[in-house]
Amino acid sequence: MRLSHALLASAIALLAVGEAKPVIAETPSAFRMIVGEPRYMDPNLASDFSIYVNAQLFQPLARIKSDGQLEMLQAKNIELGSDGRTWTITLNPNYKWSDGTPVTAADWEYSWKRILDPKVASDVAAFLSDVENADQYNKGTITDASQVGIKATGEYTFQVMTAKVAPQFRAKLALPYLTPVPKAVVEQFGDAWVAPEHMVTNGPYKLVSRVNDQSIVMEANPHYGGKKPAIPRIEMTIASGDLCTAQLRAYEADEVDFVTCLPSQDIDRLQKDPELSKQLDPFPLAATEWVQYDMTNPTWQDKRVRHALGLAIDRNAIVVAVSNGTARPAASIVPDSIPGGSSGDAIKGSVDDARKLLADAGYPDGNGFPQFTITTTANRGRPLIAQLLQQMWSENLGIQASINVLEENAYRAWVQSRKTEKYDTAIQGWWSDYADPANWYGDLVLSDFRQNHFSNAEFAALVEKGNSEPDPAKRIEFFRAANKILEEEQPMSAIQNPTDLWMVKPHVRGLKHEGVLNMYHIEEATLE
Amino acid sequence: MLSYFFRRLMAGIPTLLISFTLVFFIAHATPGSPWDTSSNRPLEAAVKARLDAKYHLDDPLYVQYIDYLAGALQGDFGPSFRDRTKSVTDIVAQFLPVSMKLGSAAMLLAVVLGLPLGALAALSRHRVIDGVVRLISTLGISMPSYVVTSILIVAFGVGLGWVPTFGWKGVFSASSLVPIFSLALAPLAAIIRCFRTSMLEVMNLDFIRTARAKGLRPATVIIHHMGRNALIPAITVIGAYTSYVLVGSFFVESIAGIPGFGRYFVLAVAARDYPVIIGTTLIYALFVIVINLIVDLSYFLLDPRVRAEHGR
Repeated sequence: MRLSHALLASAIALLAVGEAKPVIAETPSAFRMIVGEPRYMDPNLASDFSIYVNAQLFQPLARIKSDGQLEMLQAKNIELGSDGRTWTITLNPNYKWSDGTPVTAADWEYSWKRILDPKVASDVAAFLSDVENADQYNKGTITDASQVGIKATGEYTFQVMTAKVAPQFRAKLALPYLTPVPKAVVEQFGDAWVAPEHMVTNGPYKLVSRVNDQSIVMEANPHYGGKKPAIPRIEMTIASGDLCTAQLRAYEADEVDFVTCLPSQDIDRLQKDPELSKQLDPFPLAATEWVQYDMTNPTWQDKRVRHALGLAIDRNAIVVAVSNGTARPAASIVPDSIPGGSSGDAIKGSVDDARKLLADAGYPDGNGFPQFTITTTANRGRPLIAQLLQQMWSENLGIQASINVLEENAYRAWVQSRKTEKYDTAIQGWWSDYADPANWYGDLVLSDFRQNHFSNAEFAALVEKGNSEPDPAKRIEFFRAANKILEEEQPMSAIQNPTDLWMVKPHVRGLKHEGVLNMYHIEEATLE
Repeated sequence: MLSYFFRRLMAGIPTLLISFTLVFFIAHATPGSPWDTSSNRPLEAAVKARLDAKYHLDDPLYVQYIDYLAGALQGDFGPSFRDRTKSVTDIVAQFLPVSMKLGSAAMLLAVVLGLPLGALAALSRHRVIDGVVRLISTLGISMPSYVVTSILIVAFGVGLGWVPTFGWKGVFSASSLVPIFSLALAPLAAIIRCFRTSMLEVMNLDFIRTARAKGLRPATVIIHHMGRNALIPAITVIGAYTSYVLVGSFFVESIAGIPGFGRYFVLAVAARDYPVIIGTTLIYALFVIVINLIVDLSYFLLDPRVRAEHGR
């Protein structure tokens, strides 16, 4: 039996070799949570959910309050010149990097130009596209960064010039995507500047350790210029796969203090639990999910067909099935919380009206209507929505759809290739990036990011006018008029407005939802 | 014997090349892009084009194939697309040891429990103990690891609070108990079944009767005479499961929050991280080849007939 002895010994040796010490110490004063692995720790690159982790480390100029006004953070003052294009930003000199050096206008200029640098190839560049020459520099048609309309004019002031009058830029200035990076450190260490031993931050926390796919630990930034965080330490454990299930299990076992999403099959149990139900913290998102029709495909060019399909959807049934009623049924695309959006513009009518519209379009009882496909991504409960639509349209209108479910990344590729290829219908969604109508009517509809191919000259003209109108009240009127056209034309039929569901332990106080992105700022919370 | 192993080792090279070619073309044929991440907006075409150019994804596929192969032969498997600050080698160095530690512990558990239980079942054939052991083994084979892991976490983590529900604090911590047991269950069940069967076959052979008749102690007969001979088929099963368990299980690692190789591989597939997909597949293939070789080597040590055949 020598072999088995040898196997045993080598197995034990293998186990003992380089056994890592536990990274996270048990500290009662730490805020514990589970997050997904951030794709980027570099805030100039992060445009996905990494920003929620980054937001503890890096801070933007300001935050936009629910009334649309700016609350200053790193900036002391933001002023728009009389030309409507020159934004002068005065920094608050109290804010320092976590190594004690001041955050200067040069850092901001460097960072925002870095975002636009074609070699950096950052996704964040889209948020600076209003800036003069930003697009040209980003696309490589001009190579001289000094022509970009971002310029430090003093140690603590810099100016941003937009290409034209762009009132929506005020909201973008407060975006968590647009934060500074420390010029000196980035230049010294290159890509490795994000390593815990090099990284310095301007936000309430600094990075203490990071092990890929395992853990992130932050501690209060001693040089932070704002109010000192009450919680000195944050311990994040990294999960992948089913993040919501992992979070809830850890929460119920008292291993984390905070949960950012819940598996839908557990919502009912949690709502009925006398203790846990009190810890549920829902937040209605300025977001919408819908089914869209290929507007270049002859099947869908008859408005009566689109109205019929839109009216035949039982939105309440979908909301109950998909999120146990926590999402909100949506009759119109742009949420009411976005200026211009109005659910009152939604098309009205019963299932009988829908049947009549379809008959008027030449398909009585669905006869002669071609079999079509609903394409959807495999995540976010969307396949279930597709099945419900299939059933509702079959039962209410007598038309038959098949369902095509694609893995998330394949679905994105499919959507992009619809630029030139025909399709029938697809389930889609949009989450506000910033609280401004330009983000919906402009970015979503006019830019045609979702390949809906809705083209309407009157709508486009109204949105263009709205985008360049400096007077806020007049501006909203343009978007209100555009909203009526969008709903009447019905290129997409709204289904639901998603709701974020947090759970927060009772000993955590003051953790608030911030902005349309539903950010959390742990520095505002306390542990009791 | 040496020349036999040299030949076997050489035979591994075309296997690796075929695996590489298959995974290279399948990965690139899968729709999707490594750059289009989960953000709200689609990636700007210009940004995508620049990234493609930077990582040579705009070259014709056969050029990429040759380039990658040339790099791989020099030990350079390229950068990870998902985490661009790391190379595939860094990722293997970081994630493979975690899976190997868990996998070794699980295989150790499976062997240490499986062989005695299999022998026990064989010796008490058709009695209650045999029934119980066979029930355990049937359950172990038929329950998928994601079910076992979930049940164990809900019971011992959420319910009883004995083990953490999530995360990794090293193989000698409570956080590794659930994953080790979940990983061990399938090989344990297979070892029990296989060893029971081969013990049953061996125990009625003439040389066992001879050994007993010589008056050897029962333990000696069971361990040295029956066990050693019955071990040969069991080694094949252990070998097959070892290569499978050592590189990590996506389900177990994802559910239990283990930052291991199996989890990273599937994340790489979802992220279309081509270099990582290819690199990790090659590592996996290499594991299977090496472990099969070790299994063959063990035949040499255990079975004089194989020695006689290939020995000279």
